[in-house]
Amino acid sequence: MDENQNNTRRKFLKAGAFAGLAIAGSVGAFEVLSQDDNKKKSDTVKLLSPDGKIVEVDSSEINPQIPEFFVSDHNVREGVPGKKFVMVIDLSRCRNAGKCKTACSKMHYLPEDRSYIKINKMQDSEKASPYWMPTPCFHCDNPPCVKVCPVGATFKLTDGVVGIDNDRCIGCRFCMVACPYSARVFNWSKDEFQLNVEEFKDIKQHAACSTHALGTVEKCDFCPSKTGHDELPDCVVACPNGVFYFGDEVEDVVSNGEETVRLSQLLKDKSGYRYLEDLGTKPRVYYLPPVDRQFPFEEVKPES
Amino acid sequence: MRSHTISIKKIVSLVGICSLMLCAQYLRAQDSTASGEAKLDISFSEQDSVKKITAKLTHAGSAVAGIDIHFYVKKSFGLLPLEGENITTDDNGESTIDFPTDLPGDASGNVVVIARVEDDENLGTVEASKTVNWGLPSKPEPLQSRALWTSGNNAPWPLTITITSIVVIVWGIIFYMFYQLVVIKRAGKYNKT
Amino acid sequence: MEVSKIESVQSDELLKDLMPKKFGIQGRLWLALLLVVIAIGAFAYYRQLRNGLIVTDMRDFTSWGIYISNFVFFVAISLVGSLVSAILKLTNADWRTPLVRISEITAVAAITFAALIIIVDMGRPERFWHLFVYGRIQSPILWDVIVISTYFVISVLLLYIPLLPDIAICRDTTPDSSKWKKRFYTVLALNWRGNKKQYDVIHKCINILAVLVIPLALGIHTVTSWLFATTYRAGWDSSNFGPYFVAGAFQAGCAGVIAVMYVLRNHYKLQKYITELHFNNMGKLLVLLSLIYLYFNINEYLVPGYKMKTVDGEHLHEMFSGRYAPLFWSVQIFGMILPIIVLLFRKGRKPVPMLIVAILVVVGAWFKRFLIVVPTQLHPFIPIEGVPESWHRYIPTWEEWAITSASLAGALLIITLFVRLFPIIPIWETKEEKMKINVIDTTKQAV
Repeated sequence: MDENQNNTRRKFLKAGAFAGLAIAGSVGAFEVLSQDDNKKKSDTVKLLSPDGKIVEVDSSEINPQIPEFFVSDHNVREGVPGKKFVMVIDLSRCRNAGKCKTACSKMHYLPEDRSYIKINKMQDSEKASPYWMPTPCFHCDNPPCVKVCPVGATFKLTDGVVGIDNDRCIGCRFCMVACPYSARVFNWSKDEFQLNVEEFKDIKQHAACSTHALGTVEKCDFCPSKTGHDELPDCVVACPNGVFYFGDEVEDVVSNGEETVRLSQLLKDKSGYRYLEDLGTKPRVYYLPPVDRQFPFEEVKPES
Repeated sequence: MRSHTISIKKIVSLVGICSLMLCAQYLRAQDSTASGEAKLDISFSEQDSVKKITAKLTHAGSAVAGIDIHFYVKKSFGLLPLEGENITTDDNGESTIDFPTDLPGDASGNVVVIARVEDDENLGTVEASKTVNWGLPSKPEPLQSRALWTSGNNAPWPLTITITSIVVIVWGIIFYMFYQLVVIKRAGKYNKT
Repeated sequence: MEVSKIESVQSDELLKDLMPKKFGIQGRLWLALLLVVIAIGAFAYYRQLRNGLIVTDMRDFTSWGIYISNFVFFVAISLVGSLVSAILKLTNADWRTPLVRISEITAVAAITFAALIIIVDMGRPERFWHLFVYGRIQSPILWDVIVISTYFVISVLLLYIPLLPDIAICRDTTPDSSKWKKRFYTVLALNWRGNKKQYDVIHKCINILAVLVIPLALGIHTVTSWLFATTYRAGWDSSNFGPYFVAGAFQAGCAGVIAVMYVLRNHYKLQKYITELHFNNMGKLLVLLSLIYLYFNINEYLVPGYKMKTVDGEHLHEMFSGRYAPLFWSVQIFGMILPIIVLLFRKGRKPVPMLIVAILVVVGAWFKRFLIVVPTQLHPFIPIEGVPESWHRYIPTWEEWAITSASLAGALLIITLFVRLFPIIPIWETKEEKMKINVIDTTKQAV
């Protein structure tokens, strides 16, 4: 009786161990199969800490919210192949929350009051109602800034984006006066961007992103390190009210992160227009007029 | 004793088989079919030149009726919902939707259609996707090759020709002047008066 | 016999009066002043190179400041070379002879510093070569680089070629004991012997260059105006800008030459050569040019003022009755209207009133260019919001003033050094003039 019981126990234990191994093995297989192929393995990465210092962080500790830069394969003076980016801004939803500016500044290592997006209070005429209007760079199809650049430091890409090569720019600032939308900013001093220019050079950046170099010009670049692998730019994602739609004109689809709609349908239904259309610059950013507002117009910036 | 042994073996094999099945299920889910046992099958058909997408929902082999199925087309930055009237599965577990005639696809006209059951109480989330060549082939319009905003090598011809001609003519005259300076110098060499 | 005796007496007199003289006390003080101003400017530029353009008051909205308006001013002044050397020559205004070299050196000095101040304004001056390697021919800046460098070369030629006979005189009158001086003049004189062939060549060259420099002069200031007119901004988006700038340039340059000629005349006792006749004629010329400039000003302001388009209207309002009104009206009145009124009278065309008027015109021209460049940038289509208070204004910093003053001092230094080295009034052309007069006189006597 005892021997049999011992045998049973042993067999049970053996079986249990075997089962345990089987489970563990399958769970392990599960883990391996669910690995994200895209994760790059590097030891440490240089990042900007909240108080403006460069720190080296183990890459495994990186929170995926922090933007990851990558160097792309495609020719940076040509753009993402097969696409033509377009943005639609819904003015009926903007209440100057300013999250787009914060996200843009964070993405591009800018001080918050120098973000590439400006939000202005606009009032089309005396009797019309005021509204908030965010303006990124419009990436015009007939860009006055590209026309006047004497050295080709700013150029039009095939995907519609107007890029800047901060290594070529001589700092003449003609593009800044030529742009009727005040889209461009200038690096007047080294200290302005909380980063030493030398240190910033070590961080690998998508070559089509605007970089900070003293004495050169910068502007919104439609976040090529995001759009290059089918992610929405930071301003689009950060807006809590779904103001920004971003997409591909070739696909005729734009998305604000939650809603995805046909571009042509959106512009037709909501009477999309372009700011200062009669200047002939052919912007790639459309606006939807501020009708049926989601929020009443408030002068004071709401608490975040 | 024997019955015990048999039951232990049974337990072991059951556990092993269960975990293997879990793995298999997970792998199949990777392959864009259901986790759990429900399954969606997408098929395409054309009726009177109207393109239709049909999704058949089955659960453990039998059709499931009365469940809403949402259809999307996969685009770069999101899933474009397709409009349809009857998206609830009928008795055959099928739900059909019209495919729009003017939707652009990729360069060859392919689109990826996704059918999804969203968060049902019993079935959970079930998804299937399939590619079909029903989109309009689309390509971005190429940029103008010569314009005022292209690179310096690709300026409009009138501009390049005008500026080059002016520069050549004027600097030609300037170099002629430099040559005249040489002539003056030579003319003074032998102190002619 | 008589003629040749008169000639040789006149020759000696000419040489005594017109050969370059050493600096006296005044000259040295003047030089020292210029060098001090330049030194302060150089230090300010060093600070700018180290810290970036943040040392200026230019910010994202007013990204062009007094460096650019100073550049436009210099290009404007440099047109006077073509005015006196070429335009007056082609109209056979022989009285211009003593003034030719003064205007030509003013033009060369001005265009040199126009190019230098542009380099100062660049955010990355070490990348200047990008303009030549990566230049885009569609850009108005590149057109400006082309015309300005071409005009510079032609102006230097227009200065140098007629200077050859006088360099030869300097060479011949320098004793062999001053070795470097002699060497300097000999090399530059290009074996000038005064034979017929050489005279023929320089006459031919001067004629060709005189014709060539006129369209080029019109070109430089028109292309410079296009730096502004090819943008959409209120106050710049005007098809009138080319002629408006050119007219203003001739007026400012003419006044500049009047001021320089007064100073040189008084200091070097050149009253016999730069006579009241010259002041009279230059005065009349300045009136004419001011009237033409007035005409273009009226066009430039009345036409958009009649319409008062939104942003245009705000800009004009600020110029006529807003923040910039005092400066605007001072410039228009003292820089344009007053010269017309004063110089219409014969008494107003005497040397001293002319000097005052000329200085007013030149100073007015400098501030006019400031008014063209800066206020427009404070009225973009998208309102300036959410930025520091100081960004709503542009008040140049001491570095900008220092560098600008240094550039002006530098241009004056070039003129001063030239006067020290070469005769400022063409000796051989004056001789030619006098000979013509002698021949006429003796012919008259004979008759």
